[in-house]
Amino acid sequence: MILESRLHSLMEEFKIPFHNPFCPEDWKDWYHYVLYDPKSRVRILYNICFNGKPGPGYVTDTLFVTVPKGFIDQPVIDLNEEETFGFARNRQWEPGDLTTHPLHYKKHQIDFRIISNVLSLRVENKETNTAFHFHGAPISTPVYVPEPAPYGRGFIGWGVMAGYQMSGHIQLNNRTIYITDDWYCYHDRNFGRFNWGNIGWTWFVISTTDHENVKWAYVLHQSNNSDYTKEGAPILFTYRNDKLAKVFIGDTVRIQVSWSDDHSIPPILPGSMASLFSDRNIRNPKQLSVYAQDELHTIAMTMDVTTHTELIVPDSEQKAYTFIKELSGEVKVSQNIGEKQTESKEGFFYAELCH
Amino acid sequence: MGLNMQHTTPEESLIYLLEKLVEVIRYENGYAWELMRAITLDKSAVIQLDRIKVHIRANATNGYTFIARTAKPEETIHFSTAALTLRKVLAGMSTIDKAIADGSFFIRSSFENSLNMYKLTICLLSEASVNPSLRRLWEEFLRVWDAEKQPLHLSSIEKQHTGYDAFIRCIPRSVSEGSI
Repeated sequence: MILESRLHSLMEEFKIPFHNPFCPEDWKDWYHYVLYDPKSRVRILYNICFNGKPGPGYVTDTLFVTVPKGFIDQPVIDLNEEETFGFARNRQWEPGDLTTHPLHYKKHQIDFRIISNVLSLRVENKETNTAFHFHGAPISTPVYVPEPAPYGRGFIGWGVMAGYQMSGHIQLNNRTIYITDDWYCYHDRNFGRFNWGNIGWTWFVISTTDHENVKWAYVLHQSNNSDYTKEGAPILFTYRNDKLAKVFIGDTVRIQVSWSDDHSIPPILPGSMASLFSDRNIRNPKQLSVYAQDELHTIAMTMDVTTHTELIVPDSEQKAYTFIKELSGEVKVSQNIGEKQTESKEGFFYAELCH
Repeated sequence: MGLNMQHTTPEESLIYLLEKLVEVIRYENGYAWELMRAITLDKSAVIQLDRIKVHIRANATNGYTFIARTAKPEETIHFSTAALTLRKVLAGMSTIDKAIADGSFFIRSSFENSLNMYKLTICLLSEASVNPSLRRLWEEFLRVWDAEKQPLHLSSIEKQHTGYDAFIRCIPRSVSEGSI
């Protein structure tokens, strides 16, 4: 029997064998967090990704904060519109920056620790006048996939904590936002050996409350190659009050993306890629629909995209790029998991379309 | 060996950083190196960064020799920009196109040379995040040159203007509409 705390530890364990002098440089290992305030609809995404090994390798950290328009720097807030702030930076990964037992990375305005499954994350970006401190621990059933799946020319493994209790604050310019117990927070892990450019995924996390105030969370993952000619089996996890309630796999899940009719330039996350990809005119995702059904249960989800930003990730070994579309907005869920049909009262989603 | 700002003039610091950049390009990227040779070989130019001017030239001695010295006050500037502009481009808050169009990057050169400089800059930007030597050089630049820097103003990504049509918008209406 594997206890949940042991499973948490396995999931959070740093996976790159960087002490080995022959450690390949296509290793990647990242820690991904999503935080959402149902009252203000503020949502935060932070990801810290270790690439390769100390010396030639680098550490990428990315922040997106979506807020009602005017929330950060205007006296008047427009709740009908949203805007996103963020940064992406790549820094040298030097020997000695990271210890793994317990996990502690300290360098370049980042102090990141996971000790006994408890997170402490202090990040500052003096360049953009941004700083935050998150502190938290998992509260949901952990799902850990220790058997790496084939991915691109390599493999990927992952784990999910669909419920995470966080506290802390984030400062953008002179505005401070406090993270309290009533925020919904999510954490996942990805690790493996692959090159950016020939891989992709569809992923989302949904948090809803139904009319009886039951908390529901849903996490979907499906892998694909860059032109979607190859797609892996989708998997959809369903949580009721932080406990895993149902898993749909493979053909029981259907995903559909609706795209805008017109073309426009997507907002690109600040970073050196902005100059390289400043002239693309593309169609943007408008709505995601997911329908899952097996012999016992059904779920129907409709996600309306209200914010769309994009992150472009270059590969260090090949001249290739991966495009990660970050989408968020409101969701409606109708389901019959459990004993009766339920409809969501309110809910939000955060999704990535990656190719 | 690194540079200690306390023991050098700003001109010497800039020369040191330019020499390091040439060294990184020479040994790390064949395509960028060919562009670098085409732009600089048997030519000379005056580069200005934050009002600090240096004169550069290159010749074919020993294959390629890069020579930089402090520019004389009367020498004409061929390329001028500010550290703040470089930081904005690296952070994605401005694009190269927009910086050229609004004069933050000033270039006085032939069309062929300007085009090669643009290609070289885009090439370096594409490698900026994944090439360890370029990352180290950028961190050294921030430390040596721009240590007292002010934060860039944080603005939302929705306001990010990529400026793809900035050149067209720079053309006076009288020219674009053919009235002169």
